[in-house]
Amino acid sequence: MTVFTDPFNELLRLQQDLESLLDRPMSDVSFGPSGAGVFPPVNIFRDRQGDLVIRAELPGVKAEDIEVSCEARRLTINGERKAESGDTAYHRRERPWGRFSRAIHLPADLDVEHAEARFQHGVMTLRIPRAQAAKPRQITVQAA
Amino acid sequence: MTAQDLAPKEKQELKEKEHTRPGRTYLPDVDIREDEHALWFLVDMPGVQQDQAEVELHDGVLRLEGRVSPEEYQGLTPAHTEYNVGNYFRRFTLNNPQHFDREHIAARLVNGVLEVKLPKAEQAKPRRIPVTG
Repeated sequence: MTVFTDPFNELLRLQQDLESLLDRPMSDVSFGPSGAGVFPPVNIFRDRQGDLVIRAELPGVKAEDIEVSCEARRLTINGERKAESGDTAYHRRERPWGRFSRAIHLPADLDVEHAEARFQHGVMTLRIPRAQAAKPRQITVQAA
Repeated sequence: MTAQDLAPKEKQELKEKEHTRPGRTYLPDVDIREDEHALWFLVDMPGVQQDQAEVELHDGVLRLEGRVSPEEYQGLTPAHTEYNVGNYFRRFTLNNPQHFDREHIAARLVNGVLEVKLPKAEQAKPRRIPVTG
């Protein structure tokens, strides 16, 4: 049997999932004093293995201008979106620029040592694997 | 240029028109600048790949469109969200479309930013007029 998935329906489903969560307080991830009004906004997911996936949109930022660090369970994203230099005349200027800094308090079940960051098409994806100790284990029942 | 802190802003959804495809569409932030050779459009479209962006100049209207790949989100369950994900669309009416060389419009995507160059037609380029005594 062929399973057909429409990628655009997939996108709509994702948006609905995101929207249903926008008003709800988060479960095991916290952001300090204010979650909103800081840059960059982040979306946080869990994948099928229970790994944490953090995504942030940083268009026009260079990978070398982004710094991600982790100390204990505090993850910080620092960087700068640089303004275009040169003295051309602007007709319209909407794209924000400047320095940014963001801290995220991570859940305890993660293996931060093996975190990976990828920056592609202006989107940063951080993947932090779930710690081995937190993964469910199958326990074999032995006959006596 | 002095350093400043980046002021965050929320994505704006495009509501004026109905699309045939499901999914939300957002208005990307745009910078438009001009030099003596061309008009430049810089459009924030994070998540859009090179072959998923479209630029079209028709009847003096420049149409800028970008589609994101939902594949990037397969198998992921949202745990906390602060921004929405969708396609991008923006449209600009040019005051003097005849001033541009439409055969040589160039566009590329760099780090999620669509850069469009609209070269000026010869007759629209600034000319220095010598003042003779």
